[in-house]
Amino acid sequence: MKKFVEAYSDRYEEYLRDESRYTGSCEEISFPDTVEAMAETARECLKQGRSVTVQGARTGLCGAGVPAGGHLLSTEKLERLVSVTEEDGRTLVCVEPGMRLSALAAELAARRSGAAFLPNPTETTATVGGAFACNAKGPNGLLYGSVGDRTAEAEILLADGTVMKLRRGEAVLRNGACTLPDGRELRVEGLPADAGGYSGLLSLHEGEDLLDVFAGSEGMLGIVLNLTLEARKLPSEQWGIVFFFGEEGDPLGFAEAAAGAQEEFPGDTRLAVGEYFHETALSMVDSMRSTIQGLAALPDFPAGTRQAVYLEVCGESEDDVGEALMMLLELFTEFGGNEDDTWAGTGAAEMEKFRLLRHAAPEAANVRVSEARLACREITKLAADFTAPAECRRELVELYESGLAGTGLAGSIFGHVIENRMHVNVFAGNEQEYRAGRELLASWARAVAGMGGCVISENGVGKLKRELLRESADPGRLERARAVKEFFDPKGLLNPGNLF
Amino acid sequence: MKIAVCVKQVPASQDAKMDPERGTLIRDGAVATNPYDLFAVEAALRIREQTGGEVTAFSMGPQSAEKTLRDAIAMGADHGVLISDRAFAGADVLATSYTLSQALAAKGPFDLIVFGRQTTDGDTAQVGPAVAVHLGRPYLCWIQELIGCSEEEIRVRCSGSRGDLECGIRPPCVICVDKGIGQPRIPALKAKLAAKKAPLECLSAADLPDQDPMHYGLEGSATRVEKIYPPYRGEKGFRLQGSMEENADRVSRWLSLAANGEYEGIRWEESM
Ligand SMILES: Cc1cc2nc3c(=O)[nH]c(=O)nc-3n(C[C@H](O)[C@H](O)[C@H](O)COP(=O)(O)OP(=O)(O)OC[C@H]3O[C@@H](n4cnc5c(N)ncnc54)[C@H](O)[C@@H]3O)c2cc1C
Ligand SMILES: Cc1cc2nc3c(=O)[nH]c(=O)nc-3n(C[C@H](O)[C@H](O)[C@H](O)COP(=O)(O)OP(=O)(O)OC[C@H]3O[C@@H](n4cnc5c(N)ncnc54)[C@H](O)[C@@H]3O)c2cc1C
Repeated sequence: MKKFVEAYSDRYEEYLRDESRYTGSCEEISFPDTVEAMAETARECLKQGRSVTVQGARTGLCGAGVPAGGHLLSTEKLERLVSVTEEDGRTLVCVEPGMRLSALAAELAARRSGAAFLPNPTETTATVGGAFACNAKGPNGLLYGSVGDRTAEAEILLADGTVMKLRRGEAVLRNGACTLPDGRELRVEGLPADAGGYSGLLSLHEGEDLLDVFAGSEGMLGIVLNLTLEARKLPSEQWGIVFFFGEEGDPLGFAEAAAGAQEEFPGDTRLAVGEYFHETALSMVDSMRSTIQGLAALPDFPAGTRQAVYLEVCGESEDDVGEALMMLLELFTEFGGNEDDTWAGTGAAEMEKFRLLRHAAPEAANVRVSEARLACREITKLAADFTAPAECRRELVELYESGLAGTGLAGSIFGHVIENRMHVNVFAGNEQEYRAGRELLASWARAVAGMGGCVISENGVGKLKRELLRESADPGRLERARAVKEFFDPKGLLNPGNLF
Repeated sequence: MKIAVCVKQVPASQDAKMDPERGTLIRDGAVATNPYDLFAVEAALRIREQTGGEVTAFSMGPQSAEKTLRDAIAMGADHGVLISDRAFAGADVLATSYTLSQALAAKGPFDLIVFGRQTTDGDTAQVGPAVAVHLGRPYLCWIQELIGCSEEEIRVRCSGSRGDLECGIRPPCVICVDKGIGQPRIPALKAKLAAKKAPLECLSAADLPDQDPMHYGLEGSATRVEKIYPPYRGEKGFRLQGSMEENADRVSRWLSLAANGEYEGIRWEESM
């Protein structure tokens, strides 16, 4: 087994950081190529009291997969598809944790059954293990939920060396307790009624499936050995539309109206994606056309474009979807848009261009952080994905705008406008700006908590947002999270440094 | 100006399968408009913006190729003509270009006929020039830039193996455009919805001026496919590790083996 384990040396430097550019350290590193070897390697470490950080593709945005000393266990060689089975009209795909989302999509497409893994956290080089551990959720989370929501079963190595098979529905928190597959009882005092917008350990609530506690727990409760994911048929009609707004338009008003109009869409027509591009994000993407792969293939934005809203609409009936699209077009002109200033596409290939545009928003922000780090090593990603209550949509964007204007810092605002889960990035060029940016984020977190919102959403806490969490989250949630962590990992050997 | 643009529907993915018996493509998966043809439509529309007139899109293929014509209409083409008949099945470049030229003659004459650079399935880049020859029109290929367009002249920049060429061509003529001409526009929502319902014209063999069945489909094809095999992908490259002299010796030995037809690939250990 030893052959998979090596002492850390400089050639593995890139494994000490993720996309957040946060950097850690480790004493040894392993690249097991079978799940059995991974379990064995981890057991060995845990037996000797050495901490283990599991790592997927390091696309995480908060340093969750960055080691804080100890053993670094990479899943990069565990990328096999184990099995595909059909069950009650669902396609269940069992995969190893290191399989990339892109590889999973390609495997399913090659089967030509029309079934696809629908949650799309946009960064397709991420692994399924990482996406599960972060409970990743993309723009289409509006309709298809998160990676955890579409997980039917997980095989997990616990800190005591045993393997737990968790099937959806088999271990559910009821009256503050649930029985684990091994017969033990997990008790949590004072559970709230809902997740409060959080994931994983922070989401603990009455009626929650234990599988959903593990999804989003950032590898702190156990090591995922394999996952059984649920694939579904895509709707037969899928449209993507970018609505461009000039100076006069009101994209936030439009998005809100579109969300409302959804109730009146005919038949089973639904909005699957609702994304907002503030001018800070759109101009940044525009300026990186030649840097970001694929962007150069997009035509210029319509003249005078300032902001945009991207919607995906889907359903089974061509006529119903057509009718819903006409409703949206009417709303667009009502909120100051010009009918010709739209881009429309149907089907996966045409919509890919728009998804690329959306993905370019965070990518451009990451490029900018990397560039800034060349001048100042202290700089890491300064970003948040706060969720505010729906009625505070405009207030949230105004909060960001005034914060950026007040500090003179550059930023980028974009995100899931219908769910009001908006991403904001703050860019620092030097140490002083970096500190100002951190303070700005903390002040926004306090304001969002004051609105009754949630300060940590899809990108997790990891190591970068611990302080933010401590300052603004409900202390009860943190306490319960700590208690459950202690139940599963009393010595704190799994992914130390995350969350707390 | 009366402009025609030729667009083809191709398999959406590159891993299309071949029928080893017939030597033809098996077309059962997802399909899309040939990506090069979006540039052809874009060129036709940009020229129309300068000269005025109408753009008609032509596609030869099965009924499903209708979608490709609707894509062109959504981008801004005025009309779409589907050329479809069982009699056209199995056409090679000769028969395809002849059929297209007959359809263009039936609906023409056109001042300008625009083609894409090539398709992503047949990949020959022959159809445009072949149509020009059938119609007796001058043509220019590998066009990277539209410099200026009027009723009298289309001025372009073409790329060649020894450099670029700036030249003009006088309508009636044929041009084959490449990706340099500018990114194809993305249809607006209203245009895309309207295109779904736009009327299309369909031409069958009976509508073409030449009624000789021997000129169409498999019968009209000069090509006979002898063998089908996946293209040679080349071997993985590696770095020679020896001294300068050792490496030079090895390379010259491999080259002389190759020259005598005895080369069977390089064994990994030889490179050490
Ligand atoms: C440009 C860009 C856009 C992004 N957009 C989105 C988005 O829209 N939505 C979204 O949700 N995320 C997004 N992300 C974040 C990122 O892609 C996800 O967090 C991703 O799911 C992490 O997967 P990974 O394989 O890279 O994991 P890593 O970053 O390597 O690790 C992430 C976490 O998963 C844990 N982990 C990994 N494997 C296992 C395992 N086998 N068992 C237990 N724990 C494990 C790690 O310990 C760590 O805590 C984006 C990232 C980038 C760079
Ligand atoms: C023996 C044989 C049998 C074949 N049988 C069939 C068959 O049954 N069905 C089949 O689909 N293919 C068949 N093919 C392939 C077909 O001949 C070629 O795809 C066709 O000649 C076009 O050539 P290309 O794809 O290389 O186009 P290129 O020359 O690379 O295309 C250049 C441009 O010409 C235009 N163009 C090309 N084809 C069309 C079209 N169909 N309609 C409108 N514009 C077009 C486009 O603007 C394109 O960008 C067969 C080929 C052979 C050799």
